[in-house]
Amino acid sequence: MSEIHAAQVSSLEKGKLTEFQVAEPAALFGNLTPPVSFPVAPAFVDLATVSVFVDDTTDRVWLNATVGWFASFTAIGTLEATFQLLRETVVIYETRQAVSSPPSIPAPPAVVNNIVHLEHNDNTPIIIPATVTYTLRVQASAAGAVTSGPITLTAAEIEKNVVG
Amino acid sequence: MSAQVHTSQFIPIEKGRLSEFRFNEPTTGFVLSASPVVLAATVVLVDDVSDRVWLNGTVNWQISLAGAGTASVLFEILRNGTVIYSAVQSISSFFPVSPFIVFNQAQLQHVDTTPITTPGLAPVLYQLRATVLAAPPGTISTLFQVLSAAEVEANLP
Repeated sequence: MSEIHAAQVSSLEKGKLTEFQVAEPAALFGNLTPPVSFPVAPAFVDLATVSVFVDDTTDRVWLNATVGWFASFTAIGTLEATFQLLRETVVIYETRQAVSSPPSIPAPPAVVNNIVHLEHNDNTPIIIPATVTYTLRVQASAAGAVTSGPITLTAAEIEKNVVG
Repeated sequence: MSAQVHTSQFIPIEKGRLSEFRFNEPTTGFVLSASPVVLAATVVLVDDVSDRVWLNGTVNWQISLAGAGTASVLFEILRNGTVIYSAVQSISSFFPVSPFIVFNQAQLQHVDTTPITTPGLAPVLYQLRATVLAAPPGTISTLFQVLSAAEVEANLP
């Protein structure tokens, strides 16, 4: 109700967030059963998918993804994971994260955990109004990387701003 | 209705909107231990059973090592005392020197799809907490933490 009043006395603001979508295959550490192993490059495994109906070519889509993952080291070393966001089949964002073992592994495996966060703004989600599907996927540099959760992928349409 | 009454005369009504944004950003650090420590907390007033609550948490933390090894910390988000999200992050250090400080940053994201189950306005308490699962000798502490929460209305059917 108060927004009616606000609209009467101030300029209409835009750039609003709408059509918020989420895919959350697991919200808790250890809750993804069975855990998903990261394939070794060049293969990928899909972790989450969301679809957003985008109704205007001026809309942007704000994507946020978080994944808890870990590596089980049986020998000292470093393991790297590559996370990607795809619009349909096109890679639009990529980030890499690595974990390193401790200097000695008294009782293998040595488990090292990390949390990755991906953020991307898709400035050109559509050329005509359509439902757009976004996928989060991952691969690893070597065997031993796993996620047992959490995995969260969110997408929201952001309308154009008042100016620019 | 809302300001969008005006907008809706020209474009289709869009839903899934973000509203009631809240945050808590304690600027002092906390020493972590095997007992859970609440780092940040905020209350969201949720008014509709179809509302979601989008939670984002960030914790910058460190270990001041007295030796090499791996420290692992469990980060959790709670709704009214119940754990609804958890993630684990580690710091590994190769350097057996003391003191040696190593940093990491945990970014948490969760969408609570059932913040309330009965119709009507209700305050919902969200907490961000941390627990040390395993650590080599040393002190684990946070430098900065933020928990933000926003109601997100239902999308168009």
